[in-house]
Amino acid sequence: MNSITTEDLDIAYEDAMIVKSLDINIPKGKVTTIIGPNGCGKSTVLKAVGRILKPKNGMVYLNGDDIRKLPTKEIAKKMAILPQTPTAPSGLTVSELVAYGRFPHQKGFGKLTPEDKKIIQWALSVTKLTEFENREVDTLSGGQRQRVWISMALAQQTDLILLDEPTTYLDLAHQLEVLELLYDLNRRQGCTIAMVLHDLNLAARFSDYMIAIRSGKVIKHGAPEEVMVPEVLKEAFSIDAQIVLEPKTGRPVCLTYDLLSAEPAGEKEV
Amino acid sequence: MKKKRFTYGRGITILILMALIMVLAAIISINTGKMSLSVSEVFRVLLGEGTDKQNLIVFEFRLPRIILAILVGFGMGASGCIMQSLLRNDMASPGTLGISSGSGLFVLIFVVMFASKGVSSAFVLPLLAFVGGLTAAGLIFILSYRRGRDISPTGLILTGVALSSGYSALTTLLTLKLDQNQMDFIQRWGAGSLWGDDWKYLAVLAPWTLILILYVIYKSRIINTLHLGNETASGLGVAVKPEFIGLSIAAVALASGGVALGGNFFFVGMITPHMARKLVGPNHKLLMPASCLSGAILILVADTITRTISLGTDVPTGIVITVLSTPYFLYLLGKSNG
Repeated sequence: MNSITTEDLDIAYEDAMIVKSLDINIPKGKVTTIIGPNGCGKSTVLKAVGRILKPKNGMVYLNGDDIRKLPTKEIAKKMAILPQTPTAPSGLTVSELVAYGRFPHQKGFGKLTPEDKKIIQWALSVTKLTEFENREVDTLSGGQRQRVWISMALAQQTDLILLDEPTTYLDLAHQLEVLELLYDLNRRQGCTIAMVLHDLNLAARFSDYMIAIRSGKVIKHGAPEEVMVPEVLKEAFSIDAQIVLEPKTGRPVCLTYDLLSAEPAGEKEV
Repeated sequence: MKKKRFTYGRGITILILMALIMVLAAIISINTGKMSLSVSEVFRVLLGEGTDKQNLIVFEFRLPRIILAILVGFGMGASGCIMQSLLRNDMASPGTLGISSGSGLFVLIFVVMFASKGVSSAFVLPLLAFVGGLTAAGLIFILSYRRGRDISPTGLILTGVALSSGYSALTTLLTLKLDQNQMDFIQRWGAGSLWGDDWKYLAVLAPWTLILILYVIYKSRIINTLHLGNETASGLGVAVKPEFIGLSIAAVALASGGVALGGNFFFVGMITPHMARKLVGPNHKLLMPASCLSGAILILVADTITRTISLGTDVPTGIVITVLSTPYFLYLLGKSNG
């Protein structure tokens, strides 16, 4: 069962084709990660799937329904999106921002119902933010802030959460903290997670399913053991990677790597 | 400094206080002028028991001016608040984006071409200002638009500043054709003279401003999400494009009503949202009314001061506001860098 299916997706900025006839699946109930070199179109694909960007051609299906035929508010009840490095207005408190996640479920002037409040409290406690609920978002650390945004997405109560590089600008420990939170959400709450990540080892460690993209085309998709192999990484990133299995998790890790050519893979950053 | 939290209950209290301050400022303003009236005399007049002379002063001169000041303040406050939140930039305002200058240019063209011929202008002026503002907004949008990219707020503001100086040049060119009376009018209008203090103008401006304000307060939940960024708003299920366009048109309409009848209150649109945010926080359900009220209070107080100091000739209210606001603005700039 797939949460998202794309069919023959073409995405272009002006006349530059970024993605051409792309077919990908995001399996339901799994953690999916899209990897690829800078400018390969991975964020673009995520935006098109999240209806932020209109594809030139092709179809995106959400639980089997054509996404163009669904009202945007209905989509927001099924799919939450976290853009790369979102910013909160200054003065906004954690619980206020999380409350915005209730938007697609509200009507009229949007007074919070007792049920809304219960869901907000739940979203705060799952992300371990209850003690910060009255703090202003812009006074928190980068890792805490990322958790607030994830909490907002949770308050949206969707089956699917899309995240564009949720670990950007975070240090090692906070990257792990965010990914463990997402992994937990998947395993305990059953959320389908789809994200773009740069760190291959973290991607392999936390994903059930990986999609390697280069120049807007899928090179390989499947379990981390199938995607994190030297041949695929060679094609995707133009690197010669040493892959070993990590003894604790049994997942593949890239131990070290060399460039195959003078120029790394990737086109201009979009 | 201890940080205060912006709760809903506290916000409502502050809004009520602001409304009371506005009413108080209005009462003081009615009392103030070349012929002073005591508070009890003012109340007697408002209850319909004044002498003919007092009636004339209150109903024909002071009250319309006060209502105009409040409406212009409402319009500028709301307009600036919408623009700053949609563009997520504290420098955005009808003034910095060149919307006011666009409205002004159209008003000027009207004055040059028709004013001497006595065309009834109660409807025409705000409408022309609106068309001018909308043209300016459209031009800014077209010039800073790059296909397939997000519009950058900084790009919009820089384009606005550039266009603004273009309008100024055109304005100067047009003023060369004016006679002394028209010239005086345009100069005083440009400095914010609150000239349209006549019931026939107010009958148009009041519904125009109030209906638009109700619309944007109704949309405050949408503005809250757009304030998080267009992508986040899309993710939350907001139809970003139509909402953005609708709110931008409302912002232009709100500003242009005030610009047409009040003059160019450059600073009000930029400063009041800052003051309001300090008082009630970033939730637009509170922020929008607070912005309107601070705009009204600012213009009322400035106008009262203008009429009190009476420097021999009439000083345009806008100049007093600029004098009052500049230190505050510098303080804001200093704080944001620190």
